[in-house]
Amino acid sequence: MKTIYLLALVAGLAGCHAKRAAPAGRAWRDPAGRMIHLPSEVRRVVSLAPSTTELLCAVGGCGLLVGVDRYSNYPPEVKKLPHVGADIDPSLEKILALKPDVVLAAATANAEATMTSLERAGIPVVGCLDQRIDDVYADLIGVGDAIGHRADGEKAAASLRAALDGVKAAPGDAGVGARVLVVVWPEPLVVAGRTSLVAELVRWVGGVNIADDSARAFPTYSRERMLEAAPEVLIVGTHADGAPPMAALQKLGIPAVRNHRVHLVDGDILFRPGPRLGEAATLLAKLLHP
Amino acid sequence: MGSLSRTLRVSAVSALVLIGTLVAALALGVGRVSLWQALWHSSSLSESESAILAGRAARVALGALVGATLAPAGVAFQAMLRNPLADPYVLGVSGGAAVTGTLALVLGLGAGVLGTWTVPVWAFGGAVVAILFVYSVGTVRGRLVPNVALLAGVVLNVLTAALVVLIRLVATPQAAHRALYWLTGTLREPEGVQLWVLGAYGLVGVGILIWLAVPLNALALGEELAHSSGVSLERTRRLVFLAASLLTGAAVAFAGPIGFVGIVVPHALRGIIGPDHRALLPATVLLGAAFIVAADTLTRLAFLWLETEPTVGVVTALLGAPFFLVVLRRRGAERVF
Repeated sequence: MKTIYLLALVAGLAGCHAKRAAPAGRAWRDPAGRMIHLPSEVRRVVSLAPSTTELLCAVGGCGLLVGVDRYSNYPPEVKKLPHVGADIDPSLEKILALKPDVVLAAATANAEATMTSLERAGIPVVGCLDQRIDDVYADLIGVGDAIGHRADGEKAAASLRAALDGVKAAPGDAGVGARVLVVVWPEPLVVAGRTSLVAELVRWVGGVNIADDSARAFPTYSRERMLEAAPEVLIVGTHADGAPPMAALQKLGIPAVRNHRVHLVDGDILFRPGPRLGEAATLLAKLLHP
Repeated sequence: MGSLSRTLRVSAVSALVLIGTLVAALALGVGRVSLWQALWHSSSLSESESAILAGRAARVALGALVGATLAPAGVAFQAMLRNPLADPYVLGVSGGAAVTGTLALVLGLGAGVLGTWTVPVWAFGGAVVAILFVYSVGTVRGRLVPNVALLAGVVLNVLTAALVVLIRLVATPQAAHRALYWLTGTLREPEGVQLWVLGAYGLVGVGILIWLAVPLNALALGEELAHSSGVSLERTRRLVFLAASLLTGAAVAFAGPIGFVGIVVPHALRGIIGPDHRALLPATVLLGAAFIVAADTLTRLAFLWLETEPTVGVVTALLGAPFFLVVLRRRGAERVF
């Protein structure tokens, strides 16, 4: 009799053990190329960057969100969600308390350490790559797949591709378009350099990004270099805290100012590596080829 | 008479160094424009060349004024507190300015009534409040106790650094980035009227200090000696503090808290010409200006290699720290003050 109890106990323990070792779900490679273990069903998601919030909502996953970073503000309904800190100060406890099945993070915005500590706590982190246009297609499909909406992800990627293809400059137009400077902030003069996504968009629609001479994504630009390059169009991004001071820019003796081609553009659309890239490119195309 | 000719000699050499630095700073830059052509054939300059040169000249002027105000403020604090480490940075004066300046930046007050003057005005207020704090904590039973004042400054620095971190954390990333940039000390093309305002503050502050050069000599030797030489302690001290605060507040207001210039320049000069404030102060004004202008020229040129422009505060620290250590080691066991 004792033996049977013992056997039952061992079997029970073994059963528990087996259950813990292989939880339901699948091994999966996220868009950033990391192998993670995804649960079979995703019901609760926390997003740690504004771009990943937009990606999730673009594939029909807005309803799964239970928490977002402090800067997520689009689509508007995410503004009501609990905040879990931001890129530099995420609250691990707050994230854990929201009991997410997965957490979305942007490889360029969120720290590796954040992802590691979440994964150590047993929460899979879906990392998105967001440096180039192609990355965003992959992110849409990846995020869609992660929450079981692969078809929606593919649809969103296809519609983004169509929007971008619609404003792509013809191959012969490369390098002959308007000379553009994308201003992130006028004082100090921080601009979009060669490796930024918005610079890729400028080239995509046929503009010449004069700050391509800096390999940095967002360099503090030389004022003298800017005056020499004489940009024909200035695109100035606005930010969550309002429009940047324009007075100094408007005084510059450059063609963009003379010809009234200094344009304020919503920085969330312009700089965010998400599904609104098509909107950003369309806007840029309109401003560059009026 | 001997000391007068010495003062003139030292000032003349410092002035030559400053002029050389100014010419080099105007000639060097990322944009290609010939200073020679600008001087003799200015009408042949293109529009962009004129704009480049005008911007460069304005920025050089701002750098010179900032150096000429911060460095003598360092001399004044060092004499008052009889400590070679006392400078606007260490005393928490820059820190006070940093808190209010950051607050103004982060709250986006630039759009208010004060416009582009918002950050300077707030930073100036912070500097003055900080110096009042250090002065009142450091004054025990009517006497300024240098070590207490210095420690009060150190504590104030820790406090203001924490406040700045807190303000930046709750700000938007863009505002936090702007604050970080301003906080490391940065020069950019000023409006003409800003140069006049800074120049006026500099003139008053430096004027008071040079006028008080003899009492400062006595103060630097200690209160008892100053007393016995008939110096009115309280009045001198109040005036020196007022002048040094005006200088620091004005400089930090327009350029952010730039470190090191208030320590490096006076310290190096004391090693060469001695501690007499009649010679030390004018030379510090001129070489302080040269130091910041030189550092800012490197900042502008750094774009050619780094493909981004660092802040001038980064360059003054990169230049100042090794230089200061070399001077310190050379002097070895000698009195450093």
